[in-house]
Amino acid sequence: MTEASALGGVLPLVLQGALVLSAVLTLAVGYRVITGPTTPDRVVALDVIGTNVVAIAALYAMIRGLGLFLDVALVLAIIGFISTVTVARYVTEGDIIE
Amino acid sequence: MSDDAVAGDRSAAADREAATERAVRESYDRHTTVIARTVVRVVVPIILVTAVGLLLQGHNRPGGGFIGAVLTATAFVLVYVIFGMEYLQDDFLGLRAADGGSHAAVEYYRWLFAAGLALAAGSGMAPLIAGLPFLTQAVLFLHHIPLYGEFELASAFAFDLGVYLTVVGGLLTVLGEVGSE
Amino acid sequence: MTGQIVIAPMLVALSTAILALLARFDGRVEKAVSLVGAGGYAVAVAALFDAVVLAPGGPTTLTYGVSDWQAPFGIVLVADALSAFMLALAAPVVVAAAVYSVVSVDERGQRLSYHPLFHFMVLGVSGAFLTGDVFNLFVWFEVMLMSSYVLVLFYSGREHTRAALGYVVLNLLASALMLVAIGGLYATTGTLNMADMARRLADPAAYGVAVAPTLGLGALLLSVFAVKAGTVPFHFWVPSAYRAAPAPVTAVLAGVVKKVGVYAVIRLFFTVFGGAAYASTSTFAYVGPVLMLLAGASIILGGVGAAGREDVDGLLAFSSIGQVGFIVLPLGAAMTVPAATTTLAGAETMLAVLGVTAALVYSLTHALAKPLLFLASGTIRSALGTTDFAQLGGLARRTPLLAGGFLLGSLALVGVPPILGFFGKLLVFRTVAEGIAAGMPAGALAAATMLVGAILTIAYVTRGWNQVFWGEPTERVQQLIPVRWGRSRFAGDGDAGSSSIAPDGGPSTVTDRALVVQVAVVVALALGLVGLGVGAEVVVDAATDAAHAATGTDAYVEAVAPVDPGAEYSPSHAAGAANASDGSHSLDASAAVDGGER
Repeated sequence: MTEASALGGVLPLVLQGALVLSAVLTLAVGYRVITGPTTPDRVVALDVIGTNVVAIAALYAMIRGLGLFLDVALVLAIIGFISTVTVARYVTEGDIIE
Repeated sequence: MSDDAVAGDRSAAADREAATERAVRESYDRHTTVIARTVVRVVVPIILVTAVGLLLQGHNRPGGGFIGAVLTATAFVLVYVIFGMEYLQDDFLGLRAADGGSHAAVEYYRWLFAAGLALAAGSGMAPLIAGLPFLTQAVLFLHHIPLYGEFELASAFAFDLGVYLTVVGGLLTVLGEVGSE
Repeated sequence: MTGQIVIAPMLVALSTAILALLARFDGRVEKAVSLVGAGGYAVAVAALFDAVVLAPGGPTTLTYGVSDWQAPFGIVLVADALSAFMLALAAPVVVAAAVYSVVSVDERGQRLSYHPLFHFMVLGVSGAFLTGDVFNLFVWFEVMLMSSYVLVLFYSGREHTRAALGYVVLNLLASALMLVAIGGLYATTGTLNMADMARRLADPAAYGVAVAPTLGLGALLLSVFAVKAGTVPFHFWVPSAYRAAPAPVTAVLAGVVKKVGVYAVIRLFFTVFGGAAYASTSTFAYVGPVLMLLAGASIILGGVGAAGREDVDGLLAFSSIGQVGFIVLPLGAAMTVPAATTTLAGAETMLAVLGVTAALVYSLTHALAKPLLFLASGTIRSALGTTDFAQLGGLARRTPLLAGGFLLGSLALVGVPPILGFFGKLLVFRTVAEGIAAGMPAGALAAATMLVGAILTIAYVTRGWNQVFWGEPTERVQQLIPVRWGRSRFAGDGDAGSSSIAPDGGPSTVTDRALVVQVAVVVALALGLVGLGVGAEVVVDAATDAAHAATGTDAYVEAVAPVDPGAEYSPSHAAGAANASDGSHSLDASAAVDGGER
């Protein structure tokens, strides 16, 4: 059926475990986003969430054998990178574009 | 006055010159680190390639003019954020703000916006000449192309390109106007 | 291909907007493009009206599958008599406002892409009138509103920006609700095509459609359209937005954009939900009383509000709330007892037809009179820098033509023969009267509300006229318009314009030529009102055709003829698949149900 099941063996199990781990991690980091005493804490936490979502998209693409989710992961990664850079600049400078 | 003093004056003048030069350079890229600048230099081409890839596959796979344009705009955002407003238009595009205040490149972005709209609408109206309804699309498969094999030539791509130009122009206009505020 | 006529108004508006955008390098070229585009729009609408309403053998319905996709898979444009009537209502307002804009919008406004935005708004209006797809209706609403947001917000002074922001926020909220409701309708009925939806709702059992959710979804849609039409209780954006926008934009907002809300109510609740709505026990039975309630409250509140205003713009804005009440009231009355018989133009029809006819004729009156009045008010503002009653007076002696136009527009609101307004009001009263005869609930209250509203209209119109045009010229008027506007003034040394002052007290940039054009536009609209009043029979005939098209759900479905995917693709609905195995079966069934009620 799907590529993952065609690979057989232990891989589907590992992929699904990784998916669960990423999801749990995302939720855990959500705690840091809400409480995080300083703004940089929250920024880093949001970046972790972004990375996790990228990982989830990529893992899902592998599990279901859907290449199009890799596009989603790529675009998410790019947007996550830019948002982190921009917010970091805002935190350090108080201004985004000079 | 001794020779030493004259030499000291000269070196002081050279120091001042170097300082102003440094200040000028710093006004371009104030406080952005070498890491950030290097990373952006590497990443921006990758983003642009991804954007063009999404644009090209848009008519029959996920992607399309809009998301390609958004990614292109994010590449510009990165350049703006890390290198500053002036870098792009002064050093890269070779433009000069005519009236000083406004961002000169914005005028070009506006043209991009209008041209994109015209292209999208024009590609929609082209079928009218053939007596077909508005926005009717056609596709042509080219076979036996060297290196590439089969190539799909879709008229929907013209519409997608129009959307791409419109969104890039619109987003960059907003960015330029808001950034120069 | 003659079918292209259906999309012609939209294409003309789209091309004009883009060409105006490309012509931004030169203001005069941009103005010329805008004018030519408005004229072309009028021609396209006239051709479409001719092809649809004046077709040999009675009104017909033209459909147009965009991108060559068949209904219900693709987006279909449907030009029936109702769409054609609404477009014909929009075209003169668009032309008048475009001509007025060319002389009244200043350099700065033009740099902010005034003309492209204006034509994008026209495009949105045309698309909303023509589309046969519920989601596409939302898209055109958005095209229209996006342009209007910019036009309202960016061309007003700073003091208005905050108030106008309410317009944007409320309409964005309404749009979000509309999207939710459309999504729900799609989930419920399994289609977005209006004709397909009408077919499925008329015979829910055959298609496996659960009708219950449409109650809430219909209510959501109704409130969204009430926001767009500006009825009570969503009226509060109207005065601030109308005062903030420049006069020609206000003219289009009041004349046409509001009517899009009215059109959407007619199209969805009479045509699409019509098959379901005419059954007294249906989920849509609540719409009629709710509409009447909204209309009654709007009439009273708009009338009282207008009577208490101290400036022309405010009076007109509140008046437009009340007038929309008069448009919506016959719709509500017709929906409470739709199947009651009546006679219209010598033929026996349903009361629903009479109600829609009344609403359409009244809409046409309002669509001509209100832009006229707003443009007259804008002319006063550009000549005198204010529309406050306290600073105005005696203008009738100085500007008899403008005063005459304003008077005719006011009389149209009041409803004095032979102006078209008389026939609009007559039909509205007749609808309510026949509704009462057919046992409409709270009919006496509706009639009393209408009488009070009519009296309030007379009161505020008289007050506005007295304050602005009669009496002794005030100091400001004497200073700025020292002599009567006439040939001598405009052909003379021409420095009279330099005595004008702008709202902020500085010298105004308005030229004499601009004032002449502005007055000419007002007079042209007034003549149009009188002309249509004299030829009211033609108007009422066209409106009757449109009303028949609006209430004729079966004819609509038949004209669009959506392919029935249920026949092949609904294995889960065993009963539905059996019934829908031939596409015509369900059509016949709904026709029989409808015919029985008539």
